[in-house]
Amino acid sequence: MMQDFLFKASNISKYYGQNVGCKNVSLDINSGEVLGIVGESGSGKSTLLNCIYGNLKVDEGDILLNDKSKTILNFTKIDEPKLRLIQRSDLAFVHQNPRDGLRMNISAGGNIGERLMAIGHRNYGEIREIASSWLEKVEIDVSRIDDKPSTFSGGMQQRLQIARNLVTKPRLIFMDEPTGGLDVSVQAKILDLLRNLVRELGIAAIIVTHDLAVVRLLADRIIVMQNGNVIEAGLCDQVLDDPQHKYSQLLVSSVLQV
Amino acid sequence: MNDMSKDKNIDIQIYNFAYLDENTKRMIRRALLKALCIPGYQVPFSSREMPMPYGWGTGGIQVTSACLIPKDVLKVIDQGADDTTNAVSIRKFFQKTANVAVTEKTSDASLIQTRHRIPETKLKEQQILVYQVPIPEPLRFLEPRETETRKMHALSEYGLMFVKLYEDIAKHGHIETAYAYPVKTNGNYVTDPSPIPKFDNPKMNNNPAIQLFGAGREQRIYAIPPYTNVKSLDFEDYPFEAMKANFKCSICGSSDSYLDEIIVSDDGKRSYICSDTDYCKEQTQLNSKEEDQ
Amino acid sequence: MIQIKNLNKSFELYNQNNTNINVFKNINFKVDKGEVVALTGNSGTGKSTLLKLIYGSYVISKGDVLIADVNVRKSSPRDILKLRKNKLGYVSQFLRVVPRVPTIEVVIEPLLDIGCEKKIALKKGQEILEILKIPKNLWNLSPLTFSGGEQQRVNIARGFIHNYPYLLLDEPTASLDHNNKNIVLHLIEKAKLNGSAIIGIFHDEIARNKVATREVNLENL
Ligand SMILES: Nc1ncnc2c1ncn2[C@@H]1O[C@H](COP(=O)(O)OP(=O)(O)OP(=O)(O)O)[C@@H](O)[C@H]1O
Ligand SMILES: Nc1ncnc2c1ncn2[C@@H]1O[C@H](COP(=O)(O)OP(=O)(O)OP(=O)(O)O)[C@@H](O)[C@H]1O
Ligand SMILES: [Mg+2]
Ligand SMILES: [Mg+2]
Ligand SMILES: [Zn+2]
Repeated sequence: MMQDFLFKASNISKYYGQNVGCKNVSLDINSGEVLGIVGESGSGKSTLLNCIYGNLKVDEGDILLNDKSKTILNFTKIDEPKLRLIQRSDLAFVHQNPRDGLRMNISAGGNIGERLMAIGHRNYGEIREIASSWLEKVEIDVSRIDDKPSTFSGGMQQRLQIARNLVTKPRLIFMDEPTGGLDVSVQAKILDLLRNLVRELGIAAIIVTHDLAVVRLLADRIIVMQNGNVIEAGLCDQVLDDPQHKYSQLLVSSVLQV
Repeated sequence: MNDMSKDKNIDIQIYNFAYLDENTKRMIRRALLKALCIPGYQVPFSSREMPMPYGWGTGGIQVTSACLIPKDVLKVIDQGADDTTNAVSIRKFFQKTANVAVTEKTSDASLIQTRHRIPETKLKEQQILVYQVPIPEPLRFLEPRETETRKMHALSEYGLMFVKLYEDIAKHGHIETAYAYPVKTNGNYVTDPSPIPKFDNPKMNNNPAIQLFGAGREQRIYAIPPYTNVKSLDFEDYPFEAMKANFKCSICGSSDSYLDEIIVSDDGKRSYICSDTDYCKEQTQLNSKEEDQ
Repeated sequence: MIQIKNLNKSFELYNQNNTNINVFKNINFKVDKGEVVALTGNSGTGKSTLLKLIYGSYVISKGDVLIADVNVRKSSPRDILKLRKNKLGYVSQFLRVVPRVPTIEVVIEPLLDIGCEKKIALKKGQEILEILKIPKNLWNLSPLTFSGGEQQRVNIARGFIHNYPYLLLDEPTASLDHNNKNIVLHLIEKAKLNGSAIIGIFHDEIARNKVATREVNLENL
């Protein structure tokens, strides 16, 4: 039973010199779960996400992944090659700004195909077929397959980024404001897509967002951060409907009905 | 004749054998040995100022300098030709500084320095082929950060390399890359073969000669030891093809050597001739012998 | 069985002059299999609050809620989610769904969540939408643009597509016309006969009298 978890971070601290990035944060997630991270700007959400993805070196704490072969790997102890291998097979990271997560001078098909080719796909026709099916999944017209993302709208770029990340079926996906800056109907498309993928593929997701309506529809559980600390954590609707901490109450009451 | 040999004696006193001092040669040889031990791996070396500008093959010249011994027979080609300015200058340089014998015949040479071609005549054991390399990093145009490309090599993260070929097919319906077509050396490192035409790529595979690569400006050396597996990257459904213009050499009539396109008249009439001048001569001689018989 | 033991709820509103709202104190009652308990009391007595406490949406201030062998107050978020998925249904007054998702998909979601095959789930979804008289041409539209009554019936469809042994209903018939109200009451009746333990809030007295086996008035407790 102990080893049922997919991913677990314990007592994560990260300092930027004197400044606290995040402090003593613990979280865990199982397959098929969505965990939301909310909090005001500067509260340490992105720092935490980058730490547990292995992009930022933590000052304290352990990050454990139960890998496909049921071996538990500690990100703070394994060497870089191994970590990078895991990052491109078991994990995925969707950036807030699609420009950070896409190759802007490579076609949409090439962007989706890269991760496939990285794990050994060597059949052009097959790669193209898979890329097409993912374009369809994220509702981008397949006729755009050879266009560069620089010719896409922001929402299309974001959907392309999601496709590029999910094509190799990672088991855990990290997202930093995946729907930030998108208009509401595009947001809805992405939310629906994510929910279905979580259910159909059993992937898990950790989502940073300041949009409480988004977490409400997407997350099972959330954690609330302030000044680098987790001040409240729990069931999504419980934290949103009956927040216990002064700051969480403020956060929830500052938005219109969610 | 007398004057020439007198000059040579003077030069030899002025310059160390083959221009570079012994310590520098030793440093380069160490890099070469390491490069041979790890086929395709780019070994950094501290490139010296040479008495010619970068782009003239200073990397190749330093490698040649480190390898030359007095009994070597040197051949230098540029795009297959022995008689271009670049080839002539480098050949003269080593005649002057090392007093080695030179030849235009591929089969007679013990060391061949080349820019952008592999000779048509099959190389043999004991021969060394030294390539002049402008950009040693095959991932450079896809990922400009050197820190990142080094990691990609170290971890065999070559998805991106295939993205380039993918883009080629998506855009042109076939792999358009015709020069510097990337190869995988010894099943391990993806390597830039220098800007040889992809027609020459298969010659790198399982070649009995030693293949050494020097990039002067970029300060990198890499190597392919004899009889090493060298595979051009491709897709299962778009296999690698060694292509050349589908014509015969208008001088020797050869149809299996790599051809240069030349314009032969003012009205733009084209003709094709062997890019390997030595090979072309050889074929022409063979033809005339056959005619004599 | 659902068991409510000495249940207290108060809200501490830190950002509103530390106001403390005491909703109720020491609530005790049980709901057995096959029972429909109707919560009554004036507006603001905490009927909806009680349902949310049982469902785990609100934090229990004091006391316990036991659902079969699960103590809600002591359960982890994961255990509550598991309980909701498999055993505990909740029909709220408001429909909250991802925009653009078709009604049929919204309705079958609880079945997909417990691993039901999509084909079977779709069949059951069509059945329940037919029972609730949602016109077929609406099934593939998002319910967000539906009328209040239609939205409520979509919510009910979600709550009744799976045979939850425990059901919480917050004014399930509030905005329905006579015919539709009767259809919903019939669904509740069926669930009751099936052995579900049900707690409901029915403002409409006639409706309440039709299905409730017992009343719990929050003012008298
Ligand atoms: N590279 C850095 N160097 C120094 N301080 C940093 C660095 N990155 C972040 N910080 C600081 O750490 C704190 C947390 O920043 P972080 O980016 O994690 O916040 P966030 O919650 O993601 O905010 P936002 O919602 O605005 O994206 C902030 O005070 C920030 O100024
Ligand atoms: N999330 C909350 N935060 C603060 N106070 C709340 C919250 N939810 C309910 N309350 C308060 O608790 C009391 C009970 O509310 P509740 O909605 O349970 O009443 P009700 O009995 O369902 O009323 P009605 O019949 O009007 O629906 C009210 O005073 C309400 O303001
Ligand atoms: Mg951030
Ligand atoms: Mg109410
Ligand atoms: Zn010829």
